Amino acid sequence: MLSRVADHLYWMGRYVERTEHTARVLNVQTHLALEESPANRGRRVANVLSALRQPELFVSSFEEAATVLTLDPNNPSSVRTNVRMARENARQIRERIASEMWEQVNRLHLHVSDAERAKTLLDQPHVFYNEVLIGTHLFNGLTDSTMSHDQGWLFIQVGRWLERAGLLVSLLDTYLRVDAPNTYLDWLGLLKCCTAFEAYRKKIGSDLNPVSVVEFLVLSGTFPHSLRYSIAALRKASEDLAEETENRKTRELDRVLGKMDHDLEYARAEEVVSGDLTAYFERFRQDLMRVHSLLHRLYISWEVEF
Amino acid sequence: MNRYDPGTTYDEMFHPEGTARPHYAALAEVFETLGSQELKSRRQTADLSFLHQGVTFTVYGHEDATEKVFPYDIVPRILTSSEWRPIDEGLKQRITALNLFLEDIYHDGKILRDNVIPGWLLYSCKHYRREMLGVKVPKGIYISIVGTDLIRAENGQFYVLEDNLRVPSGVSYMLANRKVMRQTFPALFSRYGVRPVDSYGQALLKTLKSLANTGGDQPTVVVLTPGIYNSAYYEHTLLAREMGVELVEGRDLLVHDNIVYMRTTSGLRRVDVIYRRVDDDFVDPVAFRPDSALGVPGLFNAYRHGKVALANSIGTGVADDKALYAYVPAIIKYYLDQDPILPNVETYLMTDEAQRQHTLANLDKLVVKAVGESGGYGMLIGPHSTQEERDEMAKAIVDEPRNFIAQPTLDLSQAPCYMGEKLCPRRVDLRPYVLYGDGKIRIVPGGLTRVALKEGSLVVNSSQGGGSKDTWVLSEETL
Repeated sequence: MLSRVADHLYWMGRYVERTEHTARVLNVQTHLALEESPANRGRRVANVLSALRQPELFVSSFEEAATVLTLDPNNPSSVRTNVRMARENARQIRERIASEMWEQVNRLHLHVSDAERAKTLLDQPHVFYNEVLIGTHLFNGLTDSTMSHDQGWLFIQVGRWLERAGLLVSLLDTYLRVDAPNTYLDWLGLLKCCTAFEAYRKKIGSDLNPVSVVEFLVLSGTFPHSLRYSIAALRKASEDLAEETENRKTRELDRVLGKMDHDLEYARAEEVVSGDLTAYFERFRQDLMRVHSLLHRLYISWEVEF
Repeated sequence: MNRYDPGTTYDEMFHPEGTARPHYAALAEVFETLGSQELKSRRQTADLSFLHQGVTFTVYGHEDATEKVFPYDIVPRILTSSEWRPIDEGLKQRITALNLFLEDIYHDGKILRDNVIPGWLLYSCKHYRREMLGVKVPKGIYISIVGTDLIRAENGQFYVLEDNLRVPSGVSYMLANRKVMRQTFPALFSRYGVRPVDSYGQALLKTLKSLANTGGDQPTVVVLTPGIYNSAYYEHTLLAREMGVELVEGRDLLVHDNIVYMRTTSGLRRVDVIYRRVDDDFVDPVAFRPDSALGVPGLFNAYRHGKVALANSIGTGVADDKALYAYVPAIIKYYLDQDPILPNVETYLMTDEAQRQHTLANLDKLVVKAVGESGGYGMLIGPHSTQEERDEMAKAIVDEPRNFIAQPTLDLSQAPCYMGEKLCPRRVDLRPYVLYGDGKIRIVPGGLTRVALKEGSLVVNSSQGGGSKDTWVLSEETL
């Protein structure tokens, strides 16, 4: 596979994941804000901005934040921009992905760029966000069921899981920060942002506290929106990729991923919560950045030797 | 349906008195029975299908919406097998002669020595490439992929309007139109025996593979695109996918010791055949335009050494120069000793004193074309022009006579198009696609019918407001 194509597949995977995450966070938080006192709403806006890695953005109300983060074509992190970027990457590799996938990402793009539909965002935000979410699920489903699970698919998976892990780190970092006053609604929101509320209740119960939340969202080995699960999936995809491409220079990449994976496997929730959480998540952030640049150097911008 | 007036122009679907031609009868019946409500809804479904497939092209110079859905019409254009046969044979004859011509002029130049074609005319062609002199091209094939524009005149006869021997485009619309039409009118397909066009991708791959000097039984074929900002990018992706080969950009390739490689996730991989959709000028910055960022440095040298095959070859544009076009019947006669099966349109050369004077005196009746241009750029249509435009053109002709040719304003045939809620006559042409591989010429039955969607317009190019129609060639058994 062409290195350039691999790069586009990887970023397509990342942008679709980012689209899904951003839409879900906004959907959950917009609706939680409805039943909250005006005083608390300001804090919620700040948390959303921080979780979506846009703390420098200045917005005064929740409605404004939702608009800027959803429809603004000039905001590099808005839902609309993420969809556009996913589509741009897909467009450059249309012949490599299944036509169904292209049509789906194109449809999603038309959906979020349509001014008429944008009006529903203010009226009935859940209608708008749900369509985006279903659109991304459909795309992921099509990816899994219409494309050969060879290296092209693996590049999408690597991008997808790396992005999910990174997004989870930012989200958890925001909500588990020591200075953040954690109300019931905050915990509920955090779990829902990870589609974890129902799964959490089944596994752990109705008690919401930091240790249990970390137990589930950071350390669960079976829940697909936990950090551990994402890292393990990333590691697996990365190893399969090395095998598929017969790349023998992956030692450092294997080491970084293996270490993250094992750290999460053997960690205890109490220790994580009682330690320095900011430093804990920062380490993951650094490691994930390192994984990104190692992947790039191994498969995409490698040096030619004759 | 009663309101449709074919007028005096040759109409593809209706006789002059208004009844449908026999092979269109079933279609006319279906359009009448469906009713405007149903047709409208089918049209909408077809629209959506194009939009979602992202069947687009790019119009240069439009900043706002560079990507546009290619306009199309839902009324198919139908050709009987007896109409198609001479087209098929005529195109095979023409491409064979043109290929022999290219081989000759880049080697011995017999046709020049025999004074069939004046040397000065050839050497002044914008697309003549001195660098190709004496180059032995793989399998002796210069033009593997050709799109020839045909028009039908008042008498019902097809004429060749121009040859596209460089990088002809549009075949993806032929494939996309068919896909959408099958969904829009499935019942019609079962009533008509329409010959399939879907094998184009396979035929193209076979043609390209047959050019390879290297790579054994499984030569590596790639499509070289200028990138997503090219007007035909959609087509490049589609062809690569139909063939199951890599779509590469210049930056994905590199040449070392005259061998072409592509950069892959598993290291370098050798490339044997390149279907290049990049113009001659931009193919290799070392050999041609040094400012080209789209090309591959060293590619031309690799080609000259026979280490890679290119389709089409370099310098093939000389044979589709609009002034040289006038000599194609002579070329066919010279190399094949045959009369052309498909006639040319009468063409006046501005370098000829008498023909130029005639043209200048009749600018309001003629069509003037710049010889090295395509896509409907640099063209004057006499009857639709203003005095100012004609004066400008007259001056340009006198200044650079070699640069222009003139032709009578042709009464292109028309076909009904579903516009708004009724059928309206619009002018059409036909561009079939010819594939010339080692020992075999393949023509997929059909091609692209281009439509001048503007009322009264004679220009069918997509860059000038043209659209397209699905083209059905019927099998022998049907008619």
